[in-house]
Amino acid sequence: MERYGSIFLFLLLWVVVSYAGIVSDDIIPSISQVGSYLYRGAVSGIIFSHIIASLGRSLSGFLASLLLGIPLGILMARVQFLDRLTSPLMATTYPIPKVALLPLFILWLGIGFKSKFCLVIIGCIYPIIMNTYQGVKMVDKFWIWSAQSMGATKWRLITRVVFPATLPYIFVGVRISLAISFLILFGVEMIGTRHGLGFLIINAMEEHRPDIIFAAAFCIASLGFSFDRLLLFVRMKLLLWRKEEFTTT
Amino acid sequence: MPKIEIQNLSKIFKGRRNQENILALHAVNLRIEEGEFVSLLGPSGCGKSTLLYIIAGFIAPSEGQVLKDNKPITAPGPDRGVVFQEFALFPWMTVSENIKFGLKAQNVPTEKQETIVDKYIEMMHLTHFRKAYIYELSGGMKQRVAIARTLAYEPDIILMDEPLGALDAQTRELLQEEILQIWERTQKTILFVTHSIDESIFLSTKIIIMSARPGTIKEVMNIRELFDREKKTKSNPKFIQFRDHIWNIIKDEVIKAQMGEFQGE
Repeated sequence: MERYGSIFLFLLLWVVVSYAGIVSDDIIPSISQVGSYLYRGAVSGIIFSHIIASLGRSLSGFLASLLLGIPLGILMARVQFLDRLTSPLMATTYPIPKVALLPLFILWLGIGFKSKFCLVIIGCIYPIIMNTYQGVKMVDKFWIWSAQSMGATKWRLITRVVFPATLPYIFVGVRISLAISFLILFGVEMIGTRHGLGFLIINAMEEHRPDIIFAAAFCIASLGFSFDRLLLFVRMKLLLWRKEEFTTT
Repeated sequence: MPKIEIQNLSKIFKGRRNQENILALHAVNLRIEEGEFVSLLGPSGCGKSTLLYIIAGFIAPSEGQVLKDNKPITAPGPDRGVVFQEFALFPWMTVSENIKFGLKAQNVPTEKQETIVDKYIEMMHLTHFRKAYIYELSGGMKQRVAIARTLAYEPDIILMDEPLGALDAQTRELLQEEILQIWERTQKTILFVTHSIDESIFLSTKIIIMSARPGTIKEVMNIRELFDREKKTKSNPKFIQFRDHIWNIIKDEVIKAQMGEFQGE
């Protein structure tokens, strides 16, 4: 599999750099340091508690953002009144880095799970709404006309025509949101967390342990990658009516 | 009582920003009797598709009204089936699911749905393609599915907007014959928009010739009377005679329409 060749190359480079002593292992830890930390973490089970804590936050927020964002995107695109009300709001708030809202959320919702869950939702929901909205707007008017002329109710029109027609566009947003749900972990776990991969990194920064940073980053990357592949698999199954060949990038 | 009656219909499309309003249709009066096969023939941009969409209920008229069975048309509905030039099939559904859509929308019981789908799959020669997705089909097959989908829920009238326009010449010839057979078999009232003089003579009982924009009715030719019982083959001298006659009527309008386009309308 040539696609993954570049990863091996990267690993090779890393091994060479650390063993040749080109950079001190305070700055770039050697592969064995990172490996041994991961091994110890796995054996003792500690690393899993961090993984589960992070996954819990990112996936729950991600899924909630789908459940809220997709219907919202569809409604905004089809109900003119709602569109005019919310579109300017979305456009102006979109550039705000959502992580900056964390202190506010902690103030409102306390330092526990709720505030972080909401922050992940806010971070993930924008691409979902915007891509779903775009997708609905781009649904071929002749499909809508066909369905209407065949006597479809509004409900049937939305669920059997608009929604499937929009799915390819929805997936674009979903994929971005999934990535965000992992990226946002770092910011989300800055305050008031004792478990999590983001927390590990922040903690490791203070304790000068670059091997832990690498180890945690590696975990986040692997998890993100695996879930992304899973998403692509789901997409392929749901969109097999499209004639495009799926290139997994 | 005519099946469809159009009274003094006009349609104006509002221009965007700096563009002028477009008068698409002007003072159109028209009658379609039950069981007729009526062709709407005219140059590009004359408003024939717009007229069809108004009858279908997708667009509202600016002036005048459209009556069906003496009742005004205000919205699309299953009493008026539409077949589009670009098929408008649902690509996320198989052939049989597409055909079933109208039946499901009408809450036809499930067992009956299958029987009806069987019937039209056979009628439109789609037997091996029941479970195929739309992207797997050729243009001709797609149009057959589109026609089957509309026939399945048995609308009173079938409106066709240049249904054969996107097909190659050979498939077009074939489908013309199939459509004629379907009409003879089902006795439906059909309104058929087309550019092709040959097609309109071949298929219709009546041809309505439209002028260039703003579209009005230029002439109505009763083909059924003109041909009497003779066979309407394209080599029949009468056929050729009428084609020339219609072309002479329409030629000026076609030129007018082209000039309009040239001037950047």
